[in-house]
Amino acid sequence: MAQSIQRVALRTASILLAAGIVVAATYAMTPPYDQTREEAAEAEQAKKHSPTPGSEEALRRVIDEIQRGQPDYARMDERLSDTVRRLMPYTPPLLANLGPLQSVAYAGKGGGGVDFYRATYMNGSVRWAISMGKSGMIEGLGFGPISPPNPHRWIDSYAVFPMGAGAEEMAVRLAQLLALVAFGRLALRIRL
Amino acid sequence: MKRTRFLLILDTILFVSLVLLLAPGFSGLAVHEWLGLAVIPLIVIHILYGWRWIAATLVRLGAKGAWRSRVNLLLNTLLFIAFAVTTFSGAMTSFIALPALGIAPGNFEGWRMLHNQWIYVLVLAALHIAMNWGWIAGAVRRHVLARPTARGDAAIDALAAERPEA
Repeated sequence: MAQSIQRVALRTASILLAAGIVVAATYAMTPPYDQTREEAAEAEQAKKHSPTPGSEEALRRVIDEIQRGQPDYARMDERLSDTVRRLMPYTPPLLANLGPLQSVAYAGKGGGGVDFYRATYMNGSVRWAISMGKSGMIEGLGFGPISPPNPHRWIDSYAVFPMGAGAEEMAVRLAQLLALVAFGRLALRIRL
Repeated sequence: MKRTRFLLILDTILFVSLVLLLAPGFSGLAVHEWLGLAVIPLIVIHILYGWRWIAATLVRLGAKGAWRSRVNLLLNTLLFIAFAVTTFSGAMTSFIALPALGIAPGNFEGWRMLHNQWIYVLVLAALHIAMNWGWIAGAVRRHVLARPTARGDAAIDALAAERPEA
């Protein structure tokens, strides 16, 4: 019995030691976040590209509309307007704590022609992403924190997920997992 | 067979936990963080139960024709690394669980970028399940459906005897 416990303890220690080595190596390779460096990299990105004409004006308008709780769905494509409608009960409260918008600065281009902007508010900054269609309609819209977020706002950002959207996310993950298992079975033809 | 039943229950809990952890929008941040910490001892137990297989596979690594063992060991190693990094980076970006334990993490953005690479855990966990599908199917047929098959029982027995696959 004592030998058995000793063996289990040694093996557990080995596992934790291996995990510790992995974590230590990852920690050594992870640079600390430097907001100044991030902003400089963003400025470099912004110099390399130019925003889609009309995207900044559209973004300023939609930020104001969302903060007032009255987005103009006629300026969005159908899919985006459905998403915004679903999330509208939760979005203005998330942005309310930031205070009035002070400035919007172009921060570069992403895949698919998405324009990134840094919106500076009285109480913090947010990175917005907007993509415009050829007809001038907004086809994509999103925002996320830039600097390390306030803990309450970070927690709230998960709490605002409607149950349906959360369940949909879980169903998608489960489907992805099972599809990869099926792929693994077929592609690797592995049996124990 | 008690061992097989225990492993089946443990692995089912791990599978359900994995799906929940991959969908924090559904579970909420509190459940996501606490569950992320709770699966650590379960994963350690899961590895402990496979210890002899790991040791036997390492011994047979250079053997001729042991490519399945090498692939399996490589996948398991990568999954271990991905899981360790994702769990630790999750702890370092914790706003609920670790602060409740009196630990204040730092370098949030750096660790958040690592934690956002959860896709590797998804892919590697799926391949791990695929690699062990024979055992899973055998254990379910025997202990859940009560319709054991020769092939399923052979897969269970192979792991119970801690013999790596040829």
